[in-house]
Formats: sequence, C-alpha cells, structure tokens
Amino acid sequence: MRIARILWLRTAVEVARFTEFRGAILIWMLTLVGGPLILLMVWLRVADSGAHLVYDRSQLVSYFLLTMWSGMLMSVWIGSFVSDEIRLGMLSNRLLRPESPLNGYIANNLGEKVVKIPVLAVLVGLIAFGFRANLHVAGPPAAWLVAVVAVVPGAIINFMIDVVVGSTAFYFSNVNGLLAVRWLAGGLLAGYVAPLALFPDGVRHVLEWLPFRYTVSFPVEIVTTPLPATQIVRGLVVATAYCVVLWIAYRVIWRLGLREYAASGI
Amino acid sequence: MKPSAFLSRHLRVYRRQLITSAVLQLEYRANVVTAILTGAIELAVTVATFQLLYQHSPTVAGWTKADVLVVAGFARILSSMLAFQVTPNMLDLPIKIMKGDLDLVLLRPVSTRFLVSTARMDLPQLLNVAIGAGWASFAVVEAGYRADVPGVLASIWLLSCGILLIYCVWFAISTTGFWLVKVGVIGELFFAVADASAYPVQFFKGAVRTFLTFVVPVAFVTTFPVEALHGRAAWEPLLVAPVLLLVAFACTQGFWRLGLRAYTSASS
Repeated sequence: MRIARILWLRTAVEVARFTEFRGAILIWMLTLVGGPLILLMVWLRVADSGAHLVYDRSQLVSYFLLTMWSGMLMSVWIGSFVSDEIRLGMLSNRLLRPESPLNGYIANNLGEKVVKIPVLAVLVGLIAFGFRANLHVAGPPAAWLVAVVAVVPGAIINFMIDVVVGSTAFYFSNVNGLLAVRWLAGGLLAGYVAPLALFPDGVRHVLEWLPFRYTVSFPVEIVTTPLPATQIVRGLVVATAYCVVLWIAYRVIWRLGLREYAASGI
Repeated sequence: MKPSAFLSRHLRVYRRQLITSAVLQLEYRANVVTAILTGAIELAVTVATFQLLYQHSPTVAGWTKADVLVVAGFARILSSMLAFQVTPNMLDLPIKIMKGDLDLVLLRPVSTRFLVSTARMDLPQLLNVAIGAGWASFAVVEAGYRADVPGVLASIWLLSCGILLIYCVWFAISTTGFWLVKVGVIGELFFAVADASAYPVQFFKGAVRTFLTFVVPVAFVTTFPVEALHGRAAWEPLLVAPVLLLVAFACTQGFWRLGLRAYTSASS
C-alpha cells in the first residue's frame, strides 16, 4: 500500500511540526470548547425555566461535552488553504509530486488532530468535572463503537466540502465569503447549537437529509439520544452517499479547474 | 501641548487613518459583499438559535424572546465594532512588536498607543454596525419597550463604555507581546467570548457571569443597554462602567509603558 505509507510518513511529519505549536493549540482548544460550553449553560438555563425538553439535564451535558470531541475530530480548516494556493499559484508544488494533491492536506489534518487529542482530553475532563452532578454517560458499548465509526464519514464529508468549496477558486478570485457562509450556516444545521431532537419536527427531517448533521451531531446522537438502529443505519448510508457525491464533485471540479489554472503571474 | 491642541491633532490623525483605510479597501470592493453576507448570516443564526431555545419555554432567566432579540442586535453591534477597528489592530500589534515595525510608530509625534490602535480600520464592518443597530431598533419596537430619551442615552453610554472596556482588555493581552511571542493567537479567544455576548448575562451563573461582567465585560455592551432601553435598568452599571473604564485605561497605559521600556526593536 504505497498510499498508506505516504500518508503515514507525511502525518508523522505533521505531528512533529505541530508539537511546536503547543501554546497555540491550547488556545485553539479553549476556543473550540468555549462554544459548546456556552450553549450547554444556556440550555441548562432553559431547562431550569421549567421547559419540558426531550433531552434531560444529563443528556444535555453529555451532548455538548461530546460535541467538543466530535467537533474537533471532524474539524477541517483547509478551505482557505486550497483557495489561497490556487489563487497564488502555490498549488504548482503539489501538482509536481507523484501523488494526489490531497495527501498533503490530509496529513496536515490528521497530524494536527493527533496533537490536539491530549490537550482536548484534559480540557473536556476539567469541564466534565465541573458538571459532575449531571454527568451520567450511559448507552451500550456497541453504540459507542458505532459512534466512533460514524466519525469517519463525517470527517470525510467535512473535509471534502472544504476541498470542493475551496477549489471553486479555480473560477472565482475570492471564495472567503462562500467559506464563511458554509461555516456559519453549517454550524446551525450541523446540530452545533442544539441536538436535532430539540429542533421542530419539520426542520429535523430536512436536516437528516443534509450533509451538515453528519459533521457534528450524528455520532453524538447515537449515544446520547440514543438513536434507534434503523436511524443509525439510514444515517450511515446517507453519510456514505455524501462522501461519494463529494468525491465525484472534487474530481470533476479539479479536472476542469486545472485547465483554468495558470499558476501565478503567467 | 495644550489639551485642545493635543485633541485636535489626534482627531486629524484619526481622520487621516480612516481615509487611508478607505482608499486601501476600495481596491477590494468584493469584501463589502462578503462582510455584509457573513454579518447577515451571523444575525440569522443567532435569531434561529433563539427560536429553538424559546419554543420550549416562554421565558428564560426572566428574559422573553422579544427581549433577547434586542440583545441579538446589540451583540451584532459589538462584534462589528470589534471587527471594524479593534480586531485588526490588536492582531497586528504583537506582530509589529516582534518584527520591530514599532520603531516607525515610536518616532511619530503622536501617542503611540493611539497610532497602533487606529492603524487599520475595516470599513465595510460599519455597514454591519448599521445592520445591528437597525435590527435592535426593530426588535425594540416589536418588544414594545418604552425606549424614552434617558433610556436611549443610557444604553448608548453603556454600549460605548463597554466597547472601550473590551478594547482595553484586548490591548493588555496584545501588550504582553513585548515579552511573549505569538500572543496574537489569544485574540481567537475573543471570538468565543463574542458568542457569549449574544445571550443576556443572566443566562449564566456564578464564575462565568462574573467573568462576562468584569473580566471581559460583554455584559456592559449587550445586557445592560437592553435593560436600560426596557426601562428596568439599575443605575449601578451607569456609574460603574466609567469607573471601570478609567481604571482599565490607567492600568493598560501603565502596562503599555512598562512594555515599551522592554522593547528592543527587531532583536526582541
């Protein structure tokens, strides 16, 4: 497996590189846990106000603590890298290598996450201690296993959306707006602000068919709601289908886009 | 120099910095569309979040949905004002210190702190300030607030003090760049805090509420002005805000001077 060896090596390089950024990674992780933490406190306040939520207090705590994990494990930041490299002509370096231009981006993504895991573990542990009164993480071990598996298609979807949106830079000079739209709207639709169970039914049915849910809340819902087996299977099928569709979109855009690509200044 | 001459010189410099930024940004006209688009979506996301929260309960921590929609407008004003002038300059400052570019600023016959705090202005964000203010006004009418003249004045007063307070906090953090490298990344923490500013401070308890009132005082920018418009303002924040601001200004000024003494140009 040549590709596996290449990815392994390049990821190891990225891990070594990112251990140099320990301070920055701590700050990034603080920012990452900040959002779910705020939302958790807000939802607990809603529960205090006598609302009858489908999620009880302990489910809310587990949901938002776990979205910190799913948010990090499926996170992606390469959209602006891809668009900048296309616009500024730096993509040429990647194109000259005898490997997929995505390899470098994938290694960067995996490598940085490896360094983030221990930092996030400490932060989430501290937050969990703060909420220990409501901490009951239940759910059968099998559900946890499926949840971990469900992270994989979610991470691929998120990654490929960024690649596809970023590579529209073959045609447009400024795709930052598009990327911002994807983040802001995607955050809400992904279940970042609330579990899908707390959305109105009509909206929830739509969200189940959009890709965003699979990039944050789906693996978490498997253990916290917990989702019934039929919904888990349907979710995995939908997520896998999106992976395929996005892969095809990437291939098409790059095949056509590379014809437009003129490096820089030429 | 007489105080009036000092003031008029700085106002002239501010006007000039504004024009320079405007000329620069006219080269990137598409950014106007991007800024408005992201601003509008951020507002829409906040409003949708409140729709979700309030479908389960008519009031949360004493706030109705109509009330929090006003808060959402003030939160937009806050983040746009920060993005307009505070974020770009506070992220630049540690870089200027690290690269020694501060030399060029120190030589000018104007306050260095003033120059580094006004060097860059992201003018399209002013449109987002207007959108935030427009939304807040709309929400105030919808909520049926009295919004009399003292209330409006009090809310503008609190809002202005609050934004300057947050600037001071961020300025202090950027000033640590005289001793530490890579403090710019700390600025990212402010984005998480800006998220919290969209909720009334009563939504939080204990240490978090204290943090949002006194450490990174977003409560002065969003919660208290809305209470003032509602006509249920306590008078304490009106007086506490300027006192806090004076203390923050004096402390950060002292810290800044300490930092300048440690400054060793490009070799630092």
